[in-house]
Amino acid sequence: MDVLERIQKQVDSAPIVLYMKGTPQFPQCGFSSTAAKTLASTGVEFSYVNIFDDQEVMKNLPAFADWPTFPQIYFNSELMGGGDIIVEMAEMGTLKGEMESAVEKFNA
Amino acid sequence: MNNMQQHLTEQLTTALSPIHLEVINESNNHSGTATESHFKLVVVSDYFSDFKLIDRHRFINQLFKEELTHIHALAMHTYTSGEWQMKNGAPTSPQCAGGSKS
Repeated sequence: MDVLERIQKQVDSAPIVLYMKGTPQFPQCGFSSTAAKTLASTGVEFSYVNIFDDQEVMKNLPAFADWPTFPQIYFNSELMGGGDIIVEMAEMGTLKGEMESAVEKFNA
Repeated sequence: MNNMQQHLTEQLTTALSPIHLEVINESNNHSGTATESHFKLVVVSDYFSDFKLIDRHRFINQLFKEELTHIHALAMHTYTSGEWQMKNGAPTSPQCAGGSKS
């Protein structure tokens, strides 16, 4: 399978997917750490991909989404943005609701 | 003000006529020897009124496409004047944990 197909499969596989450096338990970048913590703070479950585990995904993800940096957060296969956007959504009070509706949509 | 900081400031000023603009060099907070590696932008502009957050960020990513090949991290906080009035400043960027970009 070609790497872009593999990424597509990953973002399709769960309602919320976080691409990050490291894992939520052992993040290897401050921005990835903040993104994981912010998503976790809602109590809504999410999936993650450690981009250091797959060099090909790490190399090709920016082109896949036309988004140059990590972390990247997908809701229902659509890029929501990077860490700053997730934090901003949490501050506006919309993050939890949007995560919940992503899960609902996924399970429908 | 160093070169990259000045460059980012000029580009943003031209592109977005911001009401409020902060270009902060946060490279000292981070691992490594680079002195122009981590920046935080706070941009308040009414050009953003019709854009979702992701599209505001995409606009700036596009504006700094070339620069982003040198900069390790570019934190962005984008507001319209109305949103800015409701806030008291932008969130703090996290400490870098040392993972490399590529």
